[in-house]
Amino acid sequence: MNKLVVASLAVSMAVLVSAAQAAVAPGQAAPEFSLVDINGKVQKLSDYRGKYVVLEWFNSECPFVQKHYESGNMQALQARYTQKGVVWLGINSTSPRHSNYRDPARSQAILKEWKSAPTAFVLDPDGKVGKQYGARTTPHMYVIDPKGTLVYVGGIDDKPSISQRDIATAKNLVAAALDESLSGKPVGTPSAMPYGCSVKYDN
Amino acid sequence: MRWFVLCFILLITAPVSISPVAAAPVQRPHIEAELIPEKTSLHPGEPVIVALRLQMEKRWHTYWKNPGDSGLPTRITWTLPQGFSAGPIQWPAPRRINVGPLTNFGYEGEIFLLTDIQVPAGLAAGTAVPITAKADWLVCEEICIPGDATFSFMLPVSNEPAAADPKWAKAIERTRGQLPRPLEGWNLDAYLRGDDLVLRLSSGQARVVRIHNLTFFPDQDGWIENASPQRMIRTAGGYELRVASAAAIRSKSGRLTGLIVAEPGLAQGVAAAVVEVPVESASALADEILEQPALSPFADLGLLAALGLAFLGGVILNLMPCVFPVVSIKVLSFVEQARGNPARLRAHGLAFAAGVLVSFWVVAGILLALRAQGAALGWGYQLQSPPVVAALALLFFVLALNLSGLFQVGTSLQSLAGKLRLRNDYADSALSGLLATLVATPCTVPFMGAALGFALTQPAIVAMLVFSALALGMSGPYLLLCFWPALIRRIPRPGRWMETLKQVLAFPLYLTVVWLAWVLGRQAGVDAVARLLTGLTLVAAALWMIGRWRASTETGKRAAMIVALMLAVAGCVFAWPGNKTAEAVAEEVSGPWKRWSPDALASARAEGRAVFVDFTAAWCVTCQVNKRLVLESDALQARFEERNVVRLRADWTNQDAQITAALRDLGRIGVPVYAVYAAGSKGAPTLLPELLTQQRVLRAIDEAAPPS
Repeated sequence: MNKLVVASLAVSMAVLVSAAQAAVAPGQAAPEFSLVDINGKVQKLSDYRGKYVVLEWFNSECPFVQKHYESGNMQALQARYTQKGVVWLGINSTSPRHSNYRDPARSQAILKEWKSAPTAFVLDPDGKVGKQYGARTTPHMYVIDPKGTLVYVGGIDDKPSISQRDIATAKNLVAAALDESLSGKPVGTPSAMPYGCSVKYDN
Repeated sequence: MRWFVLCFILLITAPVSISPVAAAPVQRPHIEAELIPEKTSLHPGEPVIVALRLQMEKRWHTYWKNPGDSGLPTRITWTLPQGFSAGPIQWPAPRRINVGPLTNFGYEGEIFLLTDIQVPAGLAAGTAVPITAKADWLVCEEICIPGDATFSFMLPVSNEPAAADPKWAKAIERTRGQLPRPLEGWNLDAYLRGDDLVLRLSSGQARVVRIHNLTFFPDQDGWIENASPQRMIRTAGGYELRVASAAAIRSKSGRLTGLIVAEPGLAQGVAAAVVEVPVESASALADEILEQPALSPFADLGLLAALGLAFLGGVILNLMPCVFPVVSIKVLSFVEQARGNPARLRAHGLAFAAGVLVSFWVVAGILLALRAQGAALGWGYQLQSPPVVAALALLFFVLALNLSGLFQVGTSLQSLAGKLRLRNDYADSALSGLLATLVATPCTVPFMGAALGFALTQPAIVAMLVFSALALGMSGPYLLLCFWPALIRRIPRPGRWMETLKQVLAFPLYLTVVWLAWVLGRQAGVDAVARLLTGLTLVAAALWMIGRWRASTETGKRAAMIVALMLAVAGCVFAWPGNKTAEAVAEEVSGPWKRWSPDALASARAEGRAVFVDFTAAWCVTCQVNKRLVLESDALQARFEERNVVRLRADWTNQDAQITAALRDLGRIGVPVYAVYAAGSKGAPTLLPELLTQQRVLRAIDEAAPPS
């Protein structure tokens, strides 16, 4: 009997560990992380328990990210939802060895130029957090509810394209997930295919 | 109404004179794009194929309809006259393209994306029709660059049979021939087993088509972990492909659609098939085969890598204690004979290499033929037969006595090979090659397991190539010597040193005999060993007589030879162990090591414990060295205990179909194999290198069973 308990504990531990290593799905607990933001402040996911949190995977050199910033789409989303008390965290998992890497100072300049105003912007140079979340593309969006459960994982909208013109006709799935959650409704589309450039992880 | 349409078409087409047919290729960063109609004119009512040709720069790629982890599929937007309509892009089978830890599905090099254009029937000959298309793509290497181009051309309408595009028609035809087709001749079902999405491909035919690589591409995101390796396993009636499922798969509904791509193919000329199946979460099936180990990490080993490893393994074989004394002396002797005559020397070298090559082909050929008939054999099967072990012991013993100087046979074994002797003594060199292969059989060396494991999962021709590389590696150093006479000048002239060297080199051979006797003991018991030793003694007496009375008078010599022959025959008969094996003795399982069986492994893993499996055999020297020096060391045993690791030993000294099957599932065909299953994992084991070090095993234990 004892053996059985130990065995099932071991199995569930292993399941937990492997789940933590693989991508995450809606309904699962958002993995905890602690990363330093571009102002030198430590940002922990658990600090924001009790609030909705949006994670936005970012790489300023990626044309898909540029699509949503040069059109002002992403900044508008950030402004609209941070005003409603949502925490918006930008994350860059680009490896320092990749030409797309931008250090904290340059990241600050880029955010300023684009008038981007997330709650905080963190770097994940070893890609640990990105891989933990299974972030594949920039952008790749995650919405976490006040209990720390993922309610949306996927692309920013339902029109995978490079063209700014498509933004107007696409359904913004992050906005939809936040609107539904904030008004107490279940999220209609909890996951969708993320689209964009590959995250430039350290190999 | 029809008139109206016709007038409309005439209206839009009339002002255009018949002009260039294909749009000129456009250059964009890292890609060239071109829109090509398959035919140079339109036939009313007959569809026409239009191809978008994309030529990517080296290392750059574009995407399939499901781009995988990132990227965007290529798109074509058509602007066509009324009455015309364009079908969807007919996607050729994509490839997996790895970008760091992510995987995309796409194309490299040159591709043709075909679209069928429906042409209305009421077209008037002599007019021309404008075809316009805008293509959008994303071309990526490490970074991505979006691109687009708009193409326009006029296609003349003609009632004459249309001519094919002179430049591209063949490539377009080839692309069409290779497009994925509906799956035929196979049944496919899909189900979830643990975290794996399992696709089971079962053959409708009695003879299962040989496939050595399968890849699945889902049409939609969210079914599989794109970057996880896909593992193919051979099953009784076909193949099984295990693919890590995506985290979101449980929320998926509807049928799974996608492509199955097989190498060399699913049927003659069919490499890719379209599949559509419901996904069952068959837990009943899950329990049944839950614990089968997964396929080889060497399935990914390319042909060149396998050939390289085989060659290297062959070179290293020369240094093994069973090979070096025999081969070096033999080769030195023919080198000596041909000293100062480069042409003869080269011929000797080639004859030796040919001998090695041919005998390897024979061994490999027998192995492949037996396996084709379904025999569960692996590399090393030769030594699973007690008569072969006894015969090898006898051979090594005779060679050792010869080196010790007990008897001289001409210059070497020529009298044994007397009948095969040709006018010259090149045959002797070739026989030396055969001898080299024979004596090398017992020695498994690092690298060889991997190369041979790869070989046997491949078609026969590839297997033969790998064995050839092994043979060339083995004869390589000597060929070098024969083709580079400068090296020979560094070898001192024969003299007393050569005699001494021979006598010294006899001792490793005696030890080889001891070891073979021990193997025989494990296989057939102590009685067989006693008989072997008696036989060896009789043969030694016979050889002694030959040596002693060789130079005596005619009658004395004849009598001695007759007695010697009788002794030798008696010795051989005595030593013959018969084919029955002693089951109890082969078991090399004691103390903390438990006997391996699929059930033992499954139950240990079901308990969530880490498992270390030692696939071993008495006749495998590397196995024995690893066992004595590493596995049985106190440090390791203590660590195994501390981390509660189950230790299983699979003893392959005698034939054992279960062990052979387990080795095959691991992608190996010989021992040693060390498989480490992590605690609580359902996945494939980690395989350790064939030469173990204590650090490596300690690290493997730490990974498989982390300290609590």
